[in-house]
Amino acid sequence: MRYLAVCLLFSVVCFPRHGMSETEEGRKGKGVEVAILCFSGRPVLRFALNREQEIRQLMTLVGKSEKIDDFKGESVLPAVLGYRGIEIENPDKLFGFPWYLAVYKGAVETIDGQHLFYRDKEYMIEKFIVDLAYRKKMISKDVRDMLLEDITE
Amino acid sequence: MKEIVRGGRCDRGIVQCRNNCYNYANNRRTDTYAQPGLGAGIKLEEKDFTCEQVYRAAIADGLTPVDASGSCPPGTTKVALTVRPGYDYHWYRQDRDGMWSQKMGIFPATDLDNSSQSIFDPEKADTGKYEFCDYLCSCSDERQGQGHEGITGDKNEPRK
Repeated sequence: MRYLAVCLLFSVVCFPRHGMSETEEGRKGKGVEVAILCFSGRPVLRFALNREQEIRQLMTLVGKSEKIDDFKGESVLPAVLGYRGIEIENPDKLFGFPWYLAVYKGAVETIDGQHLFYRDKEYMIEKFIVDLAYRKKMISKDVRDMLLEDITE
Repeated sequence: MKEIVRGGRCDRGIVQCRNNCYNYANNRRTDTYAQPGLGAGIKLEEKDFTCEQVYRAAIADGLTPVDASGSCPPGTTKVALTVRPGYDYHWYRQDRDGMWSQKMGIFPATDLDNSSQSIFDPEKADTGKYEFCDYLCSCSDERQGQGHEGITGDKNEPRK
């Protein structure tokens, strides 16, 4: 359970960051940005985590994930119609959070000098983000419930 | 590390990120994430995401009905509507070779369904939780992105 926290610290201290693209440079100063990838016709759900408490809570949930050494594939995100995961970008490296994290049905990947994979067995990260989107009035209760169903089935 | 196209890094300057399934199906680039009916003054709300409502909105945009077994007139493309009620809608389009393709939101276009199978028939494809609704014809164009339907994602944009 402490694997992720240790690896994060290790990667921040010992590995240089990936060179940032022009897009990533343009995102600096925008805090931690979340994108819930779930629609096709409707716009992408995007919002910022602009409260330290929210980011700390998320960090705690991420820290509870178990590291996976045998993940097959380049990304946890599928190419499907419907719910296809959550992406979190942190170009300012706030609070030691990875500069990129993606999660899909409990499969987690982080990019922060290294590309690492984890398992969130109880889908806590996704549940937290979806519930946050609902509390921020980004989605209705019905859509929240549908997403939670999609995540945990 | 190999670069992978990811949704969250979607640069707003990229065509792919500003044109959704509806843009793609109509072969009309608007860079405004077109919404059915908006060009005709219809603003669909979440509760309106039903087969009937989205279909009517597309008709208001200028798309025309066609039977499942029918062909669209020359210069028009057959498109298919699917809906996950109260959640979202999605469109497919039939390409020149008779196969179907789609563009899921900001992601690249693909000719594969959710089971990574080629799409011969949108009614039988794996569309996840989206249910098939109906077919329509869209006034397309030989040139990519230059379709002629009055679709838009900006209610203030003048119609063609």
